[in-house]
Amino acid sequence: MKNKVKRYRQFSEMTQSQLADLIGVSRQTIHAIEKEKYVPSTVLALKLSRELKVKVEELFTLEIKD
Amino acid sequence: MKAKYLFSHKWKPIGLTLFIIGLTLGTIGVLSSYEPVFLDVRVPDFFGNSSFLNNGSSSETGWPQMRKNNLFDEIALSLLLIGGLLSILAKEKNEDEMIMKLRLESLLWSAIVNGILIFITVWLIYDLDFYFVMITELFFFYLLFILRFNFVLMRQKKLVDEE
Repeated sequence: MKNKVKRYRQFSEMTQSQLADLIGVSRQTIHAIEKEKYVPSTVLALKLSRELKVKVEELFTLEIKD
Repeated sequence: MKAKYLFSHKWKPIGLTLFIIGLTLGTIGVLSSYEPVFLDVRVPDFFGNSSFLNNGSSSETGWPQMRKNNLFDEIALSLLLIGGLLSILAKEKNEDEMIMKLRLESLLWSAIVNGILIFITVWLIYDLDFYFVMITELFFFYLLFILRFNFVLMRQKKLVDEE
């Protein structure tokens, strides 16, 4: 799954730590999501979409291999 | 995500300390057969007269039978077991769903590696040596998990710190 978390986080002028604190996860988790090494749960994806003020479909997109 | 079956983070250092003490005592017990006299006590032996475990050869009657035993190995194994469980089941300081995923992956990895080691033991080690190695492998699972999980967490933290 591809995602644009890093792009929208930088657009919102937030650091990884600030975003992590807002949604209640560790900075390592935000880093892993941005590097596409970890696919978040639905709850976490919705929280990210809420804090970054963007639709979840815009934030995450399926790839052919998914 | 709520982490079920996990203890508070404060139990992790306590668990690790107990595990290391248990490991040290266990190693001393195995290597030197150390059994301090003050731990010699009489204990109930619930299976002492069992025909399956004891061949029905015991001359004593009554149940349970009382027998003399040194508690050194029981203490070492209990510390290993309690310490190992607390280390596995204590939350991280920043516990979240990714940490939970890493924990479950480490548990799976430890189960696979331990299973392979047990398989090798079954085919390569015999008689009393077999029982000795099997007892060791009971706790090797905890050791494998603790090493693997903490290594993965450390690697993850290092990756983030490098950026």
